[in-house]
Amino acid sequence: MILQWLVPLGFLGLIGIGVLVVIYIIRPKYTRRLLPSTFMWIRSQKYRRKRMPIEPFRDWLIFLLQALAITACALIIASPHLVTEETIKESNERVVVIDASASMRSKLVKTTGETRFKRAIDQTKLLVDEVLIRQGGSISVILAGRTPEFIVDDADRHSYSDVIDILEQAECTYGSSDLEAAMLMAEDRVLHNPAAKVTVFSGTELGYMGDAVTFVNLADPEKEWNVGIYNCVASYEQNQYVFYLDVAAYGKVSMDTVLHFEIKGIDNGDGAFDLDPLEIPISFNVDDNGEELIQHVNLVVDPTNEAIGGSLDNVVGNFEEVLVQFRGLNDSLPDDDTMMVYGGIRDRVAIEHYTSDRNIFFSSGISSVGQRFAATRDVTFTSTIREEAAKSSGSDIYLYEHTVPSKIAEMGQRGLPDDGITVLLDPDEEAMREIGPALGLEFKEHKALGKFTNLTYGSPHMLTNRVSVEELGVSAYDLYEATPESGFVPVMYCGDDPVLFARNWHSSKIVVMAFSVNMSNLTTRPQDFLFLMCNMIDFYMPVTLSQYCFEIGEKATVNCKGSSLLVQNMRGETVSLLTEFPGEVPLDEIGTYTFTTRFSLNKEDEVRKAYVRTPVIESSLFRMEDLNFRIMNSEYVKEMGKDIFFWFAVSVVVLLFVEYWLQHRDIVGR
Amino acid sequence: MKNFLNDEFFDRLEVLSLNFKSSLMGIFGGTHRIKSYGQTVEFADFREYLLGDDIRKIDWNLFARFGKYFIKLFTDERRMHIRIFLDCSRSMGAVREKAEYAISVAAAFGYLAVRNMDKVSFYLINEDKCENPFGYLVGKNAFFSVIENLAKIKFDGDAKISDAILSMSALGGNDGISVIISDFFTDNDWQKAVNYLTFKAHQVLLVQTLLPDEIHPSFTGRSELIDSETEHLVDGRHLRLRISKQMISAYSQAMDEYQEEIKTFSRKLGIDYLTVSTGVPIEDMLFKRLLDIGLYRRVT
Repeated sequence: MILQWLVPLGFLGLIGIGVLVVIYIIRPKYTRRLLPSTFMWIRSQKYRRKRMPIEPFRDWLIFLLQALAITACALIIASPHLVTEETIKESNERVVVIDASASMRSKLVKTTGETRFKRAIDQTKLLVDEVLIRQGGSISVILAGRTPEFIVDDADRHSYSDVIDILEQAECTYGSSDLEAAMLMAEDRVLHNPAAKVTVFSGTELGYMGDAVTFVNLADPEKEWNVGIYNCVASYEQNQYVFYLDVAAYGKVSMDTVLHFEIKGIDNGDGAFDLDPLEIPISFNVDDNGEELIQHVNLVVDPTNEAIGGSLDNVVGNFEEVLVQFRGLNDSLPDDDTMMVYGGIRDRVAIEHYTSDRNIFFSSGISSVGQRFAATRDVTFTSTIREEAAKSSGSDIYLYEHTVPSKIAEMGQRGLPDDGITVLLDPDEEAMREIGPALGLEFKEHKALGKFTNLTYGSPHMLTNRVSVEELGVSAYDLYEATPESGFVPVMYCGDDPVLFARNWHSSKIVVMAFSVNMSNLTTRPQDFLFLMCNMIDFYMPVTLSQYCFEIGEKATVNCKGSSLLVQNMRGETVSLLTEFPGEVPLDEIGTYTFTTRFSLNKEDEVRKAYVRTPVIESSLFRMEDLNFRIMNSEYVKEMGKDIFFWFAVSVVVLLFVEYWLQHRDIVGR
Repeated sequence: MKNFLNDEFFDRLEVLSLNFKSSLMGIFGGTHRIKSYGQTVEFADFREYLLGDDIRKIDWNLFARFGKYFIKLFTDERRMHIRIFLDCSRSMGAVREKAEYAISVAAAFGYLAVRNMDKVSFYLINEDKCENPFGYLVGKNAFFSVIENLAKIKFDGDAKISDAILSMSALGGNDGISVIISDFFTDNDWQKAVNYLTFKAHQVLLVQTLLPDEIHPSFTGRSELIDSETEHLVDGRHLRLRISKQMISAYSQAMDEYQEEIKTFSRKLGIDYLTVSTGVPIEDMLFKRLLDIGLYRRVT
């Protein structure tokens, strides 16, 4: 048992004791004199200056003053205040916090079908009636979504109809709620008005939040249950996709159901096709006590017969989308019954190599690059020494070693392929004199160093990430001079001469390496070549999305290998059009988002998709959270109404000093 | 009493004699000449013989000369009764100096009485009673036999002078002087007592004995004045005052007015009133003030 002081400020009344002590100390000291008779002194009083005739009542007055002082102290402790209309309003202030998270969309499936949110709104309306109309107070309503906000702010009876309208128009979100921020906003109101009460409507058990908070738990385990898709992941393993599923049931669920699993747009390189949907049987069972449970069922879907859940008829190399869905369930929260899986289309990186001298270094090096990007990209590599076989279109990266196909050079000013990244490896003088002016790159001379010279870093560039440039060396190179308008950035130097240039225009992506692989130690440092190639792909051809499933409210970090990225929601509405990367895209709706990359190069648009779902945690209808939050009324002095505490304190002091004055006065004859 | 009640003090009183009013009659055997004729040897007058007169008083020489009977008249001397009423309240005894002074005055009157062969009695007034513990004293021997007891008088309580004197059963008339020694600081209506004494044809002398501080208070500042006659601190006679010059002035004004009241009252009744301060030597009072008012005369 703990002794608490509800109004500790009442102890200020003890100041009166201090005043009494002071009065005792400074009170006039009277010297006692024993006289034979005071007869003449009494008679002499009539010759004194006339004074207020209070002597006969002095004792009573002193007693009265002391009684009044004690009474005033008691009244101070009782927190005196004047009750005004404003006081009534303040003393009946109510702050309502309505959880607007996705779990509040849960319906009472066994009865009315009302959602938790609807019930919260209905109960809030009743509270509005009670507080505004009957009590004459004020009410504020905080809608606790991802960013809590006051939808009703300190409304009184005059705003009653407006408040009802606002409540009827309030909508529940599909995401999570920041209840802690909402409670902070409510606490702020209680700090301003310690008499204010807070009512929280939520289906999430929040525990004790202080004596100022009334928690209304809208969860009803007898009438609510939920089955949902907890997660579905497509994992690229051994050149095929394997699907891992996690489905869960929340509440008193005991049933057999079927999970619909359908893969669309399978493309293993020999044409797209669809597989027949799988209907995977799943059972949920409550325990022997009939208590509600959180039941998880994990499934694996792949072409093997050992698959848990379902075996596919074919391998899946690429796929467009996978639909996972519980059909025909009448659970409380249908939003998590469906999930789409994307990310099955891996970026294709076709590398074309044309050289005047056959070089197996490239084929083995590019093979390593392909293995490195296996999870996200399909890297293909073709190499030729025949000019007529050299491609100048249809690939993503063109590696021209020593020479440039003359058929391209004949194309006039462009000179190079217009649908991909061109990498000129040690281009010959003849070719560069032909295409160099158009590129803004002028051949100056061939430099044979006669000795092996290490390279140095040029401008900081993504191409040199993890590349040990200073460990690389050349014995000969060509000297080029880039015009300022060319857009070429010198990435590596040999002495004072740039030997690796990079240009990244939307319409022209070119890398020029001014030395031969044969005249460098790149062949003895394959890891640096590997990093250089990987950097090139990552720099010029970044993947658009790093993940394909988001929870609502998240922001997708996107990149672009083209010039712009158009983001659309499931209704085809443009969410954003990005031109600077990497960028972020807010995902505020459930469903499929489409990300379309547009190129300034002569390439077709690239489309990627991602699925935005309700937060996984919202599927759990009967969860608990401890906000570790306390809002207390009793911690504050109840300063309701016009505070006249100060005036009572003043009256105590005045009374005590009047007493002092009375004590000070001469006592003459009673 | 060591200051006054000693042989030297009484020796000095030998030169004084009470000066009674001639209208007093007294009783026989005294030394005071009165208006009526008596049996002394001192010739006073002649008058014609009337039937019934003592024929032994006929002056035969005058009969020889005028042929008529004349008788000789002689003066008469009577003994007076000096009643000394002493206020024995605590206000008189709270300060020893005041008590000693009052007793000394009383003793002086007593001695003067017995020296002139008068009868003296001391009446001690305490509360509403008037006691005469020493009886009637005649002669110096009797006086000196009680003088020590006189010095041991207890001053206590209040003194209601009028109640005390009016309650006395035997209070002769026209036979002497009644001296009331008091500070007269009482709410009791002492004037009644004086009226009664004058009604009894006493020659009355009021001796108001005061301390110098009672005439002119010498203290100032905040003072809680406690009346010696009351024992309870919570009493109407207790005062808490800031004694300032104005307060002293008011006191003096009140004192003057009170004394004037007594004087006026005394004049109206034809009695004597004397205010004495204990700060003034008692000789000054006896040999100057009393002579001034004519109550005493010097004898040679």
